Amino acid sequence: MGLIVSDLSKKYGNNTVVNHISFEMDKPGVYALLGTNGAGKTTTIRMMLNMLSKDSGKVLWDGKPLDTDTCNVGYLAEERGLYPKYPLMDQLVYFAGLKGVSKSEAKKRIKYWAKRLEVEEYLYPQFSQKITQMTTDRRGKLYAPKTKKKREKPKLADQLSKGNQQKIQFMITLLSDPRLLILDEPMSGLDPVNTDLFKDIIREEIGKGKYLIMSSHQMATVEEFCTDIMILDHSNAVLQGNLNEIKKQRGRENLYLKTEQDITSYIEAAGIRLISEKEYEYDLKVESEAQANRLLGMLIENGVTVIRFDLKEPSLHEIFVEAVGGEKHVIQ
Amino acid sequence: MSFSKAQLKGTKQVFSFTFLSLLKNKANIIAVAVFLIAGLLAVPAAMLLGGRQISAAPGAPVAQVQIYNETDLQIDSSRLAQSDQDFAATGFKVMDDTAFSGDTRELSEDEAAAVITEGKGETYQIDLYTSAETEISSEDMSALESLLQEEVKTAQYQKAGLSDRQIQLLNAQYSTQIGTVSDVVNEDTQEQGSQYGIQLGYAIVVLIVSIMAVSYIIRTVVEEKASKLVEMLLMSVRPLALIAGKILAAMAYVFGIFILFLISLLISYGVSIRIFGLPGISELLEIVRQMGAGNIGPQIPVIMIISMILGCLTFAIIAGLSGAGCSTTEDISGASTTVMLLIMGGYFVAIMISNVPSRGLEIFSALCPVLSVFCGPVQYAMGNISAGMLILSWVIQGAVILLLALFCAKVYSSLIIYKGNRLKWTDMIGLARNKTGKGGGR
Repeated sequence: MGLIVSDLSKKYGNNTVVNHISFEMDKPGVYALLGTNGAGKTTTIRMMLNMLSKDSGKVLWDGKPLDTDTCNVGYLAEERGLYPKYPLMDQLVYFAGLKGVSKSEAKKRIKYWAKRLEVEEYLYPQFSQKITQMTTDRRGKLYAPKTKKKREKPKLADQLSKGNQQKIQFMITLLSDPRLLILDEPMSGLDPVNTDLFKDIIREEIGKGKYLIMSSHQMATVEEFCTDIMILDHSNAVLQGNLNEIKKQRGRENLYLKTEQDITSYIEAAGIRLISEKEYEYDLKVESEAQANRLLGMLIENGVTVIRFDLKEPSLHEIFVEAVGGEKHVIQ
Repeated sequence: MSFSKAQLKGTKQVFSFTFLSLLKNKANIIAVAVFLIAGLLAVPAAMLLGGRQISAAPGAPVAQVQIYNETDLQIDSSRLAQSDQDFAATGFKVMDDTAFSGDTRELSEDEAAAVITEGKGETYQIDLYTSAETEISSEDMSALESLLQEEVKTAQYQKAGLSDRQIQLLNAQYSTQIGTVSDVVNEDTQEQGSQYGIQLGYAIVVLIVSIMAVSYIIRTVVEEKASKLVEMLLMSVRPLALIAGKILAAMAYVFGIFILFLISLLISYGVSIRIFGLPGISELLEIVRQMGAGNIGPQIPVIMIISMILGCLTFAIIAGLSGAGCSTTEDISGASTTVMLLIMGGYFVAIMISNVPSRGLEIFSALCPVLSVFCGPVQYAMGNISAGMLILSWVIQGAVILLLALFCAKVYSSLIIYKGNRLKWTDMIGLARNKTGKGGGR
């Protein structure tokens, strides 16, 4: 059954912000909601989650209107924060409690996720105390000297870096073990190490059979996970469908060539568009695979050494850029 | 939009979290401590500033009185202790078959000796003695003299064979008043003056409690919005539950402080009764009753608290809506303007009305929603309105709260996810009518 979003629309006065958006997720996986700034992604998500009223359309989960009662939804909003002056542990227990997770169960889950997201030292002050108290003896052996115990105060949100705050926010999203996860720009502002950590967790959640809707401007990241996409531009869905199908339909149009000499004249002769060139490395846009093969034949015939010949499908980035500049193109 | 139970799911968790947050807040802990200390010191400080002296002997003005009864009258020591509350803790000891030696050095600093003798023609004389270093004040000695005179008179009546009832009638207190015609005409004005005093005191309490509740609510709502937490919260809890939990938590906190303050004041007064010889609670109520508050009694604190809860709830919903229309903490002062004006307006009008003797205004102030918070309990206590009218004022206030809650249910979800310049009330009404492009929640 999964998720069905049909004919979602929203107008503010005469200004249409979401125009008859529909999509489905009939099996677990990742659906990417992409779009230019102000295209209507966040409004669509807010309408799906009943935060905003809809002018038209419906959102169903397993045949019933999507609601906090019908589906356990975890939402990591693009604009996210924490109570700055309250202890983190209290906040986590509170958010879990709002989702119906008991205090004891919440504490177990917090412990698991704190370890997984590497934020134990901020949630368990005694943990950092254990680490800092360790020292080495004369033989270089690690030991914990007996010192007067000083009780550390629990950390407050505003004492954490932005990245660590983001980890706590992600933890809040995951604490109730939601069936449907909606992640709006989940990795914005993260360093590469933490981006990988988030990616691992997202992979794990997909592996657990979760439904994920991801909205991001980091196309490479989205491309790693998503099976289906929708590209929004000025409140309209300009492209949507299975990513592989979209790519297949476009064909292999990106040609990367690395040679040992200048081949610009051959490229011109073959009628191929040159995108960029750097020290005998060429990024080309071909109209068909035959056109690429013709160029390769010309190079071999003329004794040009070809180090690399890579004919690729368009990237999601290219699809996106093309879609927001082109006409509506829907693959069902 | 109408209420449903599902819309309030999560209120308990929001209430607990907000209430505990308010309790743990350092500034709030200091505020509570200040309130408690102020309450405990209030009465003694007022007494001392008013020039009242500390009683020489806390508890009893005279520790012990030795009574040398040289007459055939039956002096009852237990009756002496019971007939005047000031001497309730004084030990009266009738020294049977013993004559006073006349040596006052035998008396300690807080002791007195009373010698009752019979003169010619069935006249009686009371001689009071203290030691040279006595700590007993002349006022207390005078009061003791009056007490003994009354006891001798009662003993005389008993000797004459009068019944207890007859003695009670003969001993009954009466008062006289000498004055001019204009004094009688001004009696109403004096009663009006006392109503003004009671109204002023009560209105100040309502003002403080309301402003505190409103400030906490606006602050918690705006802080949550400014912290960008609302969208994450709305995944688990409905907007109505979110605001209801916050309002109830802030009110529980403020009323908790208020009740603690009342308790500390009571303790303060209780201690002052002994230190400064103030009248007891029942005597105090009697004094207030004599000032014209005909309905004063133990039910008044309950009535006060019900009225204040209803009033604060009204102001709290307005404060919650104002707070939700803000996007940053800088908007807090602007957001609180409307509700503060409403509270201050209610306060000043209530004070003014209490100074104008008019039956119509009395009823209007008791029934008008915002004014009734300030005036209802006072008008009832003064006997100006009946219990039925007081209940009617609560019903009207309740209806206003219900209307505000319905309005809140309609616009609150749009308001809390709204970002931008602070919304005005006209914008909010537009939201409720769905005529604006600033939101439109569930």
